[in-house]
Amino acid sequence: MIRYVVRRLLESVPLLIVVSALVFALLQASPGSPLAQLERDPTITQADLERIARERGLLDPAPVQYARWVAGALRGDFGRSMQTGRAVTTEILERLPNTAVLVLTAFVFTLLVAIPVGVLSAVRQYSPFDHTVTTLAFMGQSIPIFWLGLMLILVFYFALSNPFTGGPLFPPGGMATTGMEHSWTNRAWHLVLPVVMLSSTWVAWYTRFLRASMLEVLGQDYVRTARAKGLSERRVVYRHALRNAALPLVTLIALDLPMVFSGALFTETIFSWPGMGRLFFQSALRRDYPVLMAIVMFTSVLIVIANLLADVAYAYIDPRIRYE
Amino acid sequence: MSDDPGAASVADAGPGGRAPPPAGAPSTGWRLTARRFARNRLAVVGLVVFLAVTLAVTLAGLSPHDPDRTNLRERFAPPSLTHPFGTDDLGRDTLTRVLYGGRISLLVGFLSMGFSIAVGTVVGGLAGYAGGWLDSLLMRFTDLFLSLPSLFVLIVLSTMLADSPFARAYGGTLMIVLIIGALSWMVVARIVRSSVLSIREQAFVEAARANGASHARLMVRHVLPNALGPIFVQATLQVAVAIIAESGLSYLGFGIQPPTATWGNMLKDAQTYLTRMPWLAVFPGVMIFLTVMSVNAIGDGLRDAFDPRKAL
Repeated sequence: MIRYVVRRLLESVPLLIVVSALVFALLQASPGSPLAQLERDPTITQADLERIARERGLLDPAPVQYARWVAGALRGDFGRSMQTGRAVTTEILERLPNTAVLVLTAFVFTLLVAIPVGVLSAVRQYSPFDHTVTTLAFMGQSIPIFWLGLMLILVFYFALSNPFTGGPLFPPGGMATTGMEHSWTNRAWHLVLPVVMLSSTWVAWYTRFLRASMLEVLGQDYVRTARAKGLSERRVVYRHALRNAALPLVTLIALDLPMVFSGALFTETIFSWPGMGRLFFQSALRRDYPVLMAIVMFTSVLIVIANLLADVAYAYIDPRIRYE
Repeated sequence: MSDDPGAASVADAGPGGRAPPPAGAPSTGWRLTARRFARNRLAVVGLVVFLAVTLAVTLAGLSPHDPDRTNLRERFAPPSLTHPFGTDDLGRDTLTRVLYGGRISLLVGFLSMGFSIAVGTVVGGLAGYAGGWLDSLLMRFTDLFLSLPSLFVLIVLSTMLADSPFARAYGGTLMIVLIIGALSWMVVARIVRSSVLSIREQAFVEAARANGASHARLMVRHVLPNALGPIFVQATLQVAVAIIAESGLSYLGFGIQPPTATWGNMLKDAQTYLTRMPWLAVFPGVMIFLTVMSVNAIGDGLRDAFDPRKAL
């Protein structure tokens, strides 16, 4: 097992090197000077521009810049934002907790909804409940989430109002009302719509997946054995069937990570949520390459790690899987 | 992980369906598949909706309005008989723009699908057929692309190319098609590879090889035709993926640029006037939703139709 983990870790190193080289090359090849912001400033002369470019190492050959970037990245230094002049790492670390709050809440919400609904849907296959769930899950899988976000704002911010206060039912964005950042209820209130938006597709996928997986498991011999020895249906379903049916979810969670990142980008952009996705969006608008590069690298690393963890976790919880 | 059993069963029907059908069974695999598909109500509804959308979009030219002509006297008009979907801030007819936008969205969907299916089939087919080091190399290459956060890379690529003449060709459509295709072939490659892996072990491939068929002939004539089932399913799902990707990119402003209307960039414009003109946001979104849903329904129906475990 340890050998397998080590081997997989070593395998992912060249992968990450190629990814970083690829993204770096792309950003290098991109048109538009990274100093565009300064060039437009009339108080900065051509000589100043050249000096700044030399200071920032922008005149060095690309491989040198790449090597410098990698060396820095290994020390946690991703250069400075061209927009704000602050360290990219600081910028990202500032936003990261906000994205984490959003994504983790959405994740917990997804599991809380998808597991019971998927199980019930499978247990009562072809019931009206099952048909409703299947239809909703199918729709949820196809809905463009950026549009869902707009519709949520339209309905829950503009159209509906809170019957007690007369104000909007839910806020249209932000993490908290200004001045109320320490109120947990206020923050939770701001989380509702973004979480619904981010988890919609996710809930749909997992419900469908769990339903299918449960249906398969419920037909297995060991489930029949469990029933035959007189266990309560509840015990059969949740102890014997669900445990096995939910196993593949572990792999699914890792594979879904890219989807979650792109979901977070849309969600944060629509709901002005100061997270990493919004930072990426704004940096792309401003062509702030160091920030873009760092976020792409960061998410790639997370994806590689998540895949590794999923394989290992899967091997750990399912003794039938053996890695040489 | 996903050794598609559908592939093996299509292969059992024999190359080109020339094997005599077992008594009582429908004559060919394709007819059987079509019959199974027709029995799936959701899939048939999906097909009808999709054909309706395609037809409407094709006939966009019949609209009395010009999609790009501004009419300052009819700005901000809510849905009415003359403008069923209302007008926008420049007085343009939303229905007409939705139809013309649909042309671009569907075009991008299909062209990107063609690109990703082509790349995915070549990569997955070569890897599965050749095996050995070529297989490892191509699959590492696939893993590489899979570990990129695709939306982020799409945005980077689109930003990067924004000023190039390439981005302006055909209103940016070509560029969007290529970058979406370049980032969505990986699933196709994996599925084609696993199908090819199981098909190349079949007896009829062995027989053809014994008859002296070349690699190219084996691949094109015997292996790939039997992997068509899963490829078809993927092709359908890729159309949905590409439509979502294009509209998402255009919605963020990194896709196809105005004045060329697409469902995505119409939503972007609608955002500014969300309260004043909600219809601007509702209709393009409904169109994306309907189209993607119908394509997914067709894809699900095809998958079930190709999967022998389900029917009969």
